[in-house]
Amino acid sequence: MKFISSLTRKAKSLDMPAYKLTTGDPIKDLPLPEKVVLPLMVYGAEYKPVAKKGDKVLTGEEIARCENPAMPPFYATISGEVAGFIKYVDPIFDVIVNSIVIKSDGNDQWAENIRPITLDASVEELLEQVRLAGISGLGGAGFPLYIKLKSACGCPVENLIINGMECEPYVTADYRLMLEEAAGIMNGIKVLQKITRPQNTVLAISDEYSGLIEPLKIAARESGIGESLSIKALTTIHPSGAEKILIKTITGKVVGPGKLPLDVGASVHNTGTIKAVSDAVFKGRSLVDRVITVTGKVKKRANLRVRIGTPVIDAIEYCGGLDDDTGRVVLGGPMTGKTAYSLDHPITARAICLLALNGHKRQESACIRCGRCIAACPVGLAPAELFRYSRAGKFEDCEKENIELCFDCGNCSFACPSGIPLVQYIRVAKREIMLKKVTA
Amino acid sequence: MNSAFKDKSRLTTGPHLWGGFSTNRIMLITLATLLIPAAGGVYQYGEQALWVIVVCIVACYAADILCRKLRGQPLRPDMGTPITALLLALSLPPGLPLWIAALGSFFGICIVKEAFGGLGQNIFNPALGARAFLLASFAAPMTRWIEPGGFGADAITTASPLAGGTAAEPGGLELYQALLFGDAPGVIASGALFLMVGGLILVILRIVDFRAPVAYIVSVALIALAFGEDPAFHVLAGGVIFGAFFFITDPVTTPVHWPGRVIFAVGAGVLTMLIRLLGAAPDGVTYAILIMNALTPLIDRYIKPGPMGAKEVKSGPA
Repeated sequence: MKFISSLTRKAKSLDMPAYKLTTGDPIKDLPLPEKVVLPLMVYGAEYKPVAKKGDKVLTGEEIARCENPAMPPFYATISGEVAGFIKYVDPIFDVIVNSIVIKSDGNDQWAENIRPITLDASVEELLEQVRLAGISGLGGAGFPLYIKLKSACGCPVENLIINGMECEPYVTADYRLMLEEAAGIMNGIKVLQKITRPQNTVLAISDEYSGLIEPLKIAARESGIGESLSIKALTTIHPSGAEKILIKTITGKVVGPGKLPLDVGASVHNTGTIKAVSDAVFKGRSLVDRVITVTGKVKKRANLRVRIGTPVIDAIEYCGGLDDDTGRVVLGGPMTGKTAYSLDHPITARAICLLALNGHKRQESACIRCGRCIAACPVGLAPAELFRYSRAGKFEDCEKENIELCFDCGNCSFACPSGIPLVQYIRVAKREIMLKKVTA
Repeated sequence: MNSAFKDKSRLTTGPHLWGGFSTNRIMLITLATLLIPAAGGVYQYGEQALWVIVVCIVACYAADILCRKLRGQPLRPDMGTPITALLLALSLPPGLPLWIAALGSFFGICIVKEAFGGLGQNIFNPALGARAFLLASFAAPMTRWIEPGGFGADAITTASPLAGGTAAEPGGLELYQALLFGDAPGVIASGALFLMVGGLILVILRIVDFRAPVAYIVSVALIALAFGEDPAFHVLAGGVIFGAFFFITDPVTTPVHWPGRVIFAVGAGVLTMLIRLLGAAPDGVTYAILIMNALTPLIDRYIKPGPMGAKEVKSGPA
């Protein structure tokens, strides 16, 4: 039986190398950048600036506001002077975003607008602290944490899942964070437990990170949540760390198309987000930085704590510059990240990684219907079919085939022997469907 | 540094990594594994086999170039062409008049493959389509078998084991041995052992999925048992092993999702045995697979992967 399951697993697995090259590099603080560029948009919602050109701002001072009061406040991530506003194309949302540029004064003076509180505070106070700290998810999607927790408050949460899977190749930021800041993560888990009152709390890590189990268990015991937290090392086949896939692996429940994790009683949070919660509640620190992995074709690979909005070039120069044959710098992981069109591009809260790669392009040839994309798809779609519909402009047929289940994990393109950019075709179809709905 | 990077930077969408498999590599390995039964055939039948193989390869390339010229496409070599050539040549009888082999090659490439749109678009397997065309048009030379005799031997006409014309006892060890090593008269790739070695290499290197060939062989054996025939004989004789590893696994002309492929294989197995036991033709592999090729779009329409959590919504034909 075991033999048979090993066969089927092999037939399904992707042969994707892990490339975890930076597991041994401690997190280092990137020196304060000379300027930061902050796109005035959070999870697709636009912000209006409240600071004007020439204003002096402090780190953690509110500089922009959103019409929606539930959205997190928008903070300056360094202290200094507002140098002006620029427009730039956000590579993740493909829209032109107004961005604020802050020139550093080098002092990093903090605004004292939030005070540390303790776990004795009420759930409402804890929630307000999370909102005030301006936290949005640090796992890559960037969903505002306050909104996620607020909706979790009203529902019974069966499983609180802390996602430390980090299933994308190359990325090690969460690994280092769990290793170095285990105590902080445990404190953050306590806060989330108090807010969501889950029946079970699971910390899911990749089986490649089995060395983490012991230190995490010790930290859990020391922080006093050892009993309520179970640590699970799960088999990592990309995208096993994706929210819906992780929920299915851990609880066996399926989050269907158009459904939310809360519909099956699950709430999933990235480890970096948990650490930010801990800092916000117990240190009164708002979210101004994040940990990224700088890897690939750079001279010295590293895990860096960078201020949000730092230009890509600062991080790369700190790492000794790019190799000569670099052709692309990817913001985010190699499977779902987007290429930066310039090294002046800011590192946003959603970037988990900076990955320098060569400029090779894949030769595209005819689809031979081999079915590798179907075997690779984590949600059971037939990418080859969606690709044919999308290329022919038959977007209604794509809808009938449940295209909305696709979350751009990239497995189909990765597995395609003919080098067809399947995800790109699917994305085109999803965009057309969305536009049709918006205009209808 | 920034401006230097800008000059050569490239914008791509994710994923920025890709797997090691390329279509070319898949075809190259398939071609290499086909050389094993080809070598076996040449060893058994000498120049009688060699010339058929050479003519098929040359004619297939000529047909490919002709079609590309006619369709105004770039003359980029396509690894599918030599594969079709070898598959066709190996399924022809040794000593076949060479002009018939050349005609079959042109039919396979020009009509069965390119007329339907070329690589990836053809409904029927080009080599099998060509073989069916030759069987229908030149029944006598296509079923004229010769005794294996290596190089320089005289071609002695004989009957195929499936027509009941061998000296060996049915079910005897001698017959199995003859079928395994291609000592029994048959098509050029008649040594089941050589075909199995090639097929196993394809399975181990994960070029093909093991489920479809296994389903085909098992269904042939089970039906033979049900009819009171010798299952081992029916698996080893004729083109069953050849079909199992090299035609049932052709991705282009079989269903795209693996349960569909298993259904395809079982259907082909049933048809093969029905033709063998109840039909007029001694070997049913060619027609069985071609009929299933025709059913592939239908299987694809009903056998789809189950989208996660979408069961209760939308299903069936659109």
